[in-house]
Amino acid sequence: MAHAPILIIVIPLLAVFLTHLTKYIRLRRGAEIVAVASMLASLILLLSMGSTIISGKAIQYDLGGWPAPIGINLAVDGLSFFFALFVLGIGLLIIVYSLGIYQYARRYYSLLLIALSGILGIILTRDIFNMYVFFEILAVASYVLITYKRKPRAIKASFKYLIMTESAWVLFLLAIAILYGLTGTLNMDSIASQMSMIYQTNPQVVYLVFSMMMIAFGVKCGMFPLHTWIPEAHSQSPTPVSSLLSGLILKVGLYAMLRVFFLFFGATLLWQGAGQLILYLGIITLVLGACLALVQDELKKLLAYSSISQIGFILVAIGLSTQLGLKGGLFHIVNHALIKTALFFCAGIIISQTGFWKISNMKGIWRQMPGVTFAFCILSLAVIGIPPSNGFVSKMFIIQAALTEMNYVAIIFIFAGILLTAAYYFRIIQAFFSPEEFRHKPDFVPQPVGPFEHLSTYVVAFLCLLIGLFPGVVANIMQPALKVLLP
Amino acid sequence: MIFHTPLLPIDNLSRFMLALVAFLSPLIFIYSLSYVKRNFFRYYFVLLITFGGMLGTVLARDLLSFYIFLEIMTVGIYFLIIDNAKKESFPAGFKYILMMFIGGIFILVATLMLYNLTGTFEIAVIAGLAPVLPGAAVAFIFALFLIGCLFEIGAVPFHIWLPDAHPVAPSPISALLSGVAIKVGAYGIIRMIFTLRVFNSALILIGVISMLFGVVLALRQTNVKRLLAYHSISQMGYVLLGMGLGSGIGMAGGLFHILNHATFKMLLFLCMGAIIYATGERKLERLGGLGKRMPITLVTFSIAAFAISGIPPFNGFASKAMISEGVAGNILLKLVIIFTAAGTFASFVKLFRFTFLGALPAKLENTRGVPILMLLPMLMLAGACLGIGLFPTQMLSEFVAPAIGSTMIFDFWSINIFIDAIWIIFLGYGIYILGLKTGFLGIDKKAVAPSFVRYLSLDRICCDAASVLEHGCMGLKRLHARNLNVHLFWVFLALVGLLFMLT
Amino acid sequence: MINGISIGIVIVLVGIYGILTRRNIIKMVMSLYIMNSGVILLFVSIGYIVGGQAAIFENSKKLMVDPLPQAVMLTTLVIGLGITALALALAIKIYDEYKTLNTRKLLEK
Repeated sequence: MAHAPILIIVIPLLAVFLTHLTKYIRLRRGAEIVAVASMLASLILLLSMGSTIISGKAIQYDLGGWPAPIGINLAVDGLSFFFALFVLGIGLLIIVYSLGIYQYARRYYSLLLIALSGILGIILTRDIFNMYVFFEILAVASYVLITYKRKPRAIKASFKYLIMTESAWVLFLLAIAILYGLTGTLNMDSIASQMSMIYQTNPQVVYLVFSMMMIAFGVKCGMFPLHTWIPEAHSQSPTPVSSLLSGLILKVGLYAMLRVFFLFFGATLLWQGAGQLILYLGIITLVLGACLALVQDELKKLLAYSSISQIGFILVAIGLSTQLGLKGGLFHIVNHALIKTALFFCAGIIISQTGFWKISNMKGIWRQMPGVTFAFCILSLAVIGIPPSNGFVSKMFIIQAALTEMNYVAIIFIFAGILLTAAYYFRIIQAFFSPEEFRHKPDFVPQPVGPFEHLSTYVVAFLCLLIGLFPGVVANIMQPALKVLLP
Repeated sequence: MIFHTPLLPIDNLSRFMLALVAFLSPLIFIYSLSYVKRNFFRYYFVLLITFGGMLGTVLARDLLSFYIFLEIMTVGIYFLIIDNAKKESFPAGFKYILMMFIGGIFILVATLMLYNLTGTFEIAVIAGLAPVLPGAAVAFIFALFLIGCLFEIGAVPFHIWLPDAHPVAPSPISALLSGVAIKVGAYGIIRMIFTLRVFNSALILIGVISMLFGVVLALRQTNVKRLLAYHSISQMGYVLLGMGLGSGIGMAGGLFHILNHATFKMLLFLCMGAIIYATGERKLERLGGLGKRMPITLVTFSIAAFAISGIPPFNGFASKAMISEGVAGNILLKLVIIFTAAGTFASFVKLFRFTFLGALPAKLENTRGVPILMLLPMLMLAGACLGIGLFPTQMLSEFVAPAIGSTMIFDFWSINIFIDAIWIIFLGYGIYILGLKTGFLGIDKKAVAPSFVRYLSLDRICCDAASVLEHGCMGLKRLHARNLNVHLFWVFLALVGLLFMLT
Repeated sequence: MINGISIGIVIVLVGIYGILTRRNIIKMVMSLYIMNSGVILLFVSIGYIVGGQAAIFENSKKLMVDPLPQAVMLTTLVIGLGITALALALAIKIYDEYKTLNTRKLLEK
């Protein structure tokens, strides 16, 4: 249908209001039904555009009929389709997971829907200020979601996240201002077409804009010096929100980086040096995240540092900027989003069943929760990159890209990163299989874990193996995305 | 697309390795039926996955599938090693899996480099292209692949996981590990040697070091399974030596030794498993006098001990004779082979004497008998040792030689071989007596290890490196936790830094 | 020269200084809002034409200042308002839980 792009974003927003209105309908679990229905509707709308996208064409949509560069544009091209597809899929998974936890009320679902519509807005828009607005929508929703359970450390973590992101985002707004001053438009395609001219006359300004945007997106995605908000925020928030943060929000920062950089700066000579810069920052992120994960005792904090490390991998792949490198990077974005979401789900199930959140207290769990432990093993193997899981395919592409570029520094550090990843995941697996008998705290009542939580975890674990055995499906969807980035 | 793995047709080398894996692994299943007492579902599930991985490795026609199934096998064996879940299983398993991953990444990088060079993963196509590839690149790729496979084999200096992994694993798994899983690495090397036609004297060097290292350290062990683990290192040294020689006899000898070692090493581990099952003891000083209680184990153990020492008419002598023939003319290598064989015989005399002869300790008065399901694989393997040993010419011509694509005849029953065997027996017994007198064998705990041995131990070096890493990371963690202003300062510092680096 | 753009940049720098050096959380939130205001001023000044008319009338004969930044900055103002309100709410909550607003002391708790 003609209005599909805007409807994809608007339907979850409408659903926000509907979830609050279900208070008056007396439908049990009305909020959940509305949430799931809206996500499914968006997904169906997106898939209806699927055939056009995969054949290579893009769908443009002008808001209010105002054509670009005056009006705000939405466009669905290969890259947006790819990201939107997995965002909706994982968003659906997160909602399914939350269905099983009864204390989540209308407020939670409405916030989650706000966040998801914000993410979809970021992915589908072609106006840079519109992207800023949607990022802020997402950010506000996530700040509140982190503190949903009112834990003191969560409030501190959310505050830190807020200050860091917002101060970096002011820089982003500054960059938009400079770009507007130079080009007179806010539309991304128009700015991109004028960028090479600006670069000839005034390269310093382009450097300034580039670095400010990189800092802004780096904070959102967890690049090296800007990743410090991630461990606390991801570990203190409730489990589905951790998955949202780790699986989706980090990736949407990467999407913005990919879109803005390849669109704006791809044509200029800036890209050569910038690619190297991203590569080295990616290497530092990779190794630093893995080293810090090695010595963590809290399970969720370890998973958060592991996220940072894997984002480092993706940054290395982006920094290589070749066809193969971007293929590996995009594939790893999807893989990591899936795997880390499911890992946080496993961690959530374990924490709610045992009441502990330190790994040293979780010894010998496999006797009580064999299914979850098995899923955790499969998922850890996927993160490390063991065949036949999907993580192996993306890692293989990245290593191959680095080899083709003869970038031996990158290879050595990727090697070290994979080993460190294996080390800390196997430490957790060892703790789970430990022979010690597991004892609850004396007055602890395990919360009931329903079928929804188990279902979402096992589905993703199975999906990982499936994608690992048949990566062609994902590769086909990725082809148009790659053509957008590197024409 | 990626996993287009043409598994058939298989050539003779794959057929050889397939026979090895496919005939020996079911014996492990049968043995486990009696040995394993808990966690059946988990054990057999993982065992089946491992079995599948091993089959895939030997059947793979391209390097990527080889790597994929190798990793599947490795992960499976990790979960089997920690199956006992004792306190020391976990460090051993951790060491195993980390070193296997290092080896795996070496193999993966070599595979991908080869793909970049030739555009294909298939071994047959690469073999065809090999003459036109640049020599330096090929040598480098082969070196990487070799290092990766050496990790899988457990050759010195990558052997660190082997002596720890074998004692903690359940006995059938030790047998599987030493008998089959290690051979996959050797299979990888053989494939690449044929494909890339690179013969390295490094192989000979590593082989010799492994042989001597394994034998000397085996003499000192008192844990029966650790002793057998060091012997695995030593015997794989034989295989590496054979492969490094480069001649047809050497390669055939190495390949034949893979088969022989699989049979007699598996038999040894299964015998030790029977003893552990019956008595519950692993240390030599607590065993003794079991000969009367466990006669079948005694007989099969003796067969395996003679086989590993290279005494005719058991199968070990055939491959050792071929390798000895291959080094003929090189006095130094010949001496090394004789010394290793003698040392092997010595440590098995020690094992035999302290396990089966002597007085029965009081604790072991009521040892249980060994179930038939455990004896059956042992008897079959003993029969195989005897059978292969009695008909080595047929084995060679029909089985081993076609695998390397040559037809050769070897005179197994010449008088030289018998002379060598007698030398081995005498020298071995002499080493045993000498060791017993000087306390080198460690039974009486009279001799002390010289401190420099402990200093040079690779195991200690790696563990120390790991703890240094851990302390470094904890320091990083402390560095990381600062207040909000500092974190914001890093953000703006990053901005300034980026600006600086771009202009 | 002193125009909106340079003053905007100065205000942003003041905000950055504030956020880096002040230990009180409320002051950090204030600095954040100052930074926001600075950028808003900057953006609006970019669209300013000397002697232009306010962008309210139709059919004007004089040149109009650029209305796009003004519209965009309305949105930004509202976003900044929302963020600041949220930040202050979190600051209140932090004070309730930890009884301090000093970032150094918060680190230890």
